[in-house]
Amino acid sequence: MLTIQYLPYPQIESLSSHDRINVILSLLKSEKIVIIDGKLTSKDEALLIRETMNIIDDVFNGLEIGVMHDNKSKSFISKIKYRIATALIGDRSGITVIGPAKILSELKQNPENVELYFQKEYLLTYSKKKYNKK
Amino acid sequence: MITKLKNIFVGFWDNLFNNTNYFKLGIYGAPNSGKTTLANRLCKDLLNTDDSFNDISNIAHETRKVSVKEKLFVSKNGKKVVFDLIDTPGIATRIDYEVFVKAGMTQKEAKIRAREATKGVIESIKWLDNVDMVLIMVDATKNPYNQVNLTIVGNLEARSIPFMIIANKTDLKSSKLEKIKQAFPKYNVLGISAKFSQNMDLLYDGLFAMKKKIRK
Repeated sequence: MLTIQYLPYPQIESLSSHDRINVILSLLKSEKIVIIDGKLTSKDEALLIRETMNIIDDVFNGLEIGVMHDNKSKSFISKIKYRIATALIGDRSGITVIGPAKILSELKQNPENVELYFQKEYLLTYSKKKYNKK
Repeated sequence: MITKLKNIFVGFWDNLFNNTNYFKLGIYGAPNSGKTTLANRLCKDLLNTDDSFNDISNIAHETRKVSVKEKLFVSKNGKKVVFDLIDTPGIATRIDYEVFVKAGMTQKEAKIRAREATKGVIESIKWLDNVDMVLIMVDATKNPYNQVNLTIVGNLEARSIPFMIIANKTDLKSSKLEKIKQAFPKYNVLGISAKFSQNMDLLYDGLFAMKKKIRK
């Protein structure tokens, strides 16, 4: 079954970087696609890559990650508010999508969207299981 | 004679007031973006040697360990920069040994390569704490909106490490330099071909410009 796990950033914000990454990785190892309402810091992203490399094996071969940014043009007042908010709590605009490489063959991102490409073998296995249940 | 004395004086002055003439230059990027090709090109140009720094291949993760070549230098208009060149393994978020099997390796060789590649990625990220300046290699024939590239940029900015984005493989018809520049509008993007030594003079100019931004 394909599961998408929505993870609001405030739920993991108070955790240490390591604990935050461990929450994400445990979801990925459970073959879930994680959607985080917000963005990880670059430091967290680097830590996510490092910790992913540490746990890669024959079963879990990594992840795909993409971030959708808020690119809407802002008014002058909105820009000021955005900068104040960023200075206080960090840049939380945007959505982060992370999926296990076992499920996603590729994750393409561009300024407007993130496209998920699923592994053919995963889709075939999933549809076979669904068909057999019927 | 006068030029020599002038060079000595300029070098002394630079060392007195700006001790960033000697720095560590790292080459970072996704696998197969041409990092080692560039490293080999720099060694060939600056050390005047045909010896390769590292092997290259079309199979990803050929470079699986950080390699350092010390004391390369570039001179221009009486000024000189000296640097240690650091070639790093490509940073990736996934490593699948089956990709190496499809490229012709045995399963055993592929698993060993995959294991080494994961260690290489970890080492690359750790070396971010040891470099003073970075060239971020981006394959100009591929989609530049790669989160790995953005992660590298973000980490360098957080560490206040000056960097230049190098759009490589501009010799290929499928390269899209403008797309790379659009993806990184706030940063210096230079199109080169490391394989065919195109625009390398501009890259060396860039080293002089970035040297002033190094904080030690």
